[in-house]
Amino acid sequence: MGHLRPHRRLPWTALLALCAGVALYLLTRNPASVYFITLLPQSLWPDGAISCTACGSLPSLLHVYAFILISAYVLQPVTERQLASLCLGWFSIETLFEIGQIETVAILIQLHLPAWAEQLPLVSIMDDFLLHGTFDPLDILFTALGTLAAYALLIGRLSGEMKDDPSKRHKQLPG
Amino acid sequence: MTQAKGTNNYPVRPALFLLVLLAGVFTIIGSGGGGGDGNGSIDSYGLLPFYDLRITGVDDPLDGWDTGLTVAFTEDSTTHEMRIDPQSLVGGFSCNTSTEECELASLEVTTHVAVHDLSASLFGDFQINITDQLLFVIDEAPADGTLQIVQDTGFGTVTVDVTSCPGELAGVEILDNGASRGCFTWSQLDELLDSSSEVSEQVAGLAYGILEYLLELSDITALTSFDLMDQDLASVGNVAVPCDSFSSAGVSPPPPFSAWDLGNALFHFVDEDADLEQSPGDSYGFMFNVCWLNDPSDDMDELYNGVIDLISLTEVVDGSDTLIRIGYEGSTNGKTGGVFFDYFVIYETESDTLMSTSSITSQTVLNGGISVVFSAP
Repeated sequence: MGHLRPHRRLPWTALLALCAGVALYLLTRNPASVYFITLLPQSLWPDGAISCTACGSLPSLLHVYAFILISAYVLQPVTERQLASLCLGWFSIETLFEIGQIETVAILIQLHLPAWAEQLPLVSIMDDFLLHGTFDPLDILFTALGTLAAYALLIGRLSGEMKDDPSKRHKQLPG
Repeated sequence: MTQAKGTNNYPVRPALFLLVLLAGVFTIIGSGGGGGDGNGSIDSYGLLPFYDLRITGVDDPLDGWDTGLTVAFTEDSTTHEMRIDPQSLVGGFSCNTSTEECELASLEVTTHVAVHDLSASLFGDFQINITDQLLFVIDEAPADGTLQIVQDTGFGTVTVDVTSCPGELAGVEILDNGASRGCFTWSQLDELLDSSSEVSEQVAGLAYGILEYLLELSDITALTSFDLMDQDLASVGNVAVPCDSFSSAGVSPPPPFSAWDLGNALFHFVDEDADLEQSPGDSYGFMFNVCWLNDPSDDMDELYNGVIDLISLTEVVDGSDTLIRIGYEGSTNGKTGGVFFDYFVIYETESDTLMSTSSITSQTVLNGGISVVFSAP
């Protein structure tokens, strides 16, 4: 059965995007407000920072782009529809977390969380993220751009596969 | 067809994807919500016995994107302007964990401060380096250590070596390109810049004064702010910083502030992430209006006027409620973190209690920014 060629470049491209995102966080954010930077030894924390208003939403683009590529590498979607679902799935996850940072939504989530759940380490980190994070519609726009960029890259590859092997076209690409 | 190892094994794919999904979610939520304690005020926490202090110059958009501080000092109608860029000023602080009082204990050899002579009225551009750790006895001058002032052309290298002067008086030996200029007590070193002594001696006095000045600035801004943020600033928005009245000291205010017997100052909170709490990434500010701070034991005092912005608080408390990092650094809402001075003026006043008057003897205008961070060693 034909499927998206799990080319080795995909995870490397994703890793590069993630590294660029981490570098942006290290250089343009307050390190103490970023949980994963606080896990690093303090000697690795950046000495200075650059102010870059335009860089604020770029990590959203890079994150969704990277994780769609990694997911595609792992799942190897066969059809355009599968690929679109994968992209939409990641876009939805990222958008939901962004919406969760709206103050009223964050408070509602916190109110409805059972006490035992708040003790779970991942949930307490999420609590901090929702309550201290800032909702920014631009982040959703950049997430959409990242999703489209990843889709464009992968659909190009998928179409290329079909062109290489026309026998697969009817089976796998509807219409 | 090229196959990634393991990915052609269908039952493995969902498990791998689950891991990718978890990693994705973790990195989303891990991108926020660090170090803060999540309360309306910065709670009290335990202190470590030692902290590293690091002061570095940051770019300030309000000061032409120059790095560090622009300092314009005026005395007797003469103005000297210089830009001080602490590329790295690294110190050690020792803290009494019971009283929570901290004092400077050392300046490290990784300290490098660049000085640019903007008014071309001092000694040209030069660099201050600590070449042997400066060790401080609490509340006193250094007991050991060496600093060097280097200029590629001009005066060359001036070395200030902490030593005991004759009579067992604490002081420094100044060396001009290796040749001793003699021993000077700390109070003599303080006065060298104003004297008509040799350039190397004046440079030594200026360089040590610059280091002291940077430490004093971090003390009156960052350290003071840490005390003030203990209050519930998220609710009240700002707190008044007490100033002293001239009349209570038995003197009249100095011209041009004759109408200001009692100035005022506010310390305010900026909720950068709009979470209604004080947390990392939030900012603070001081606004001084002719605020005089009187030291009753001394006729020389300081009067502050202007704004100091403290952008992007960093605060990390470990699992045992011990503070492991605090200061102003990084970036928040597109603004570089640090302590920023915007036409902040420090006036030195002299009181004459016999005549019941006071006067301004000098003024220093500060612009620009520095990042100030205390962290676990």
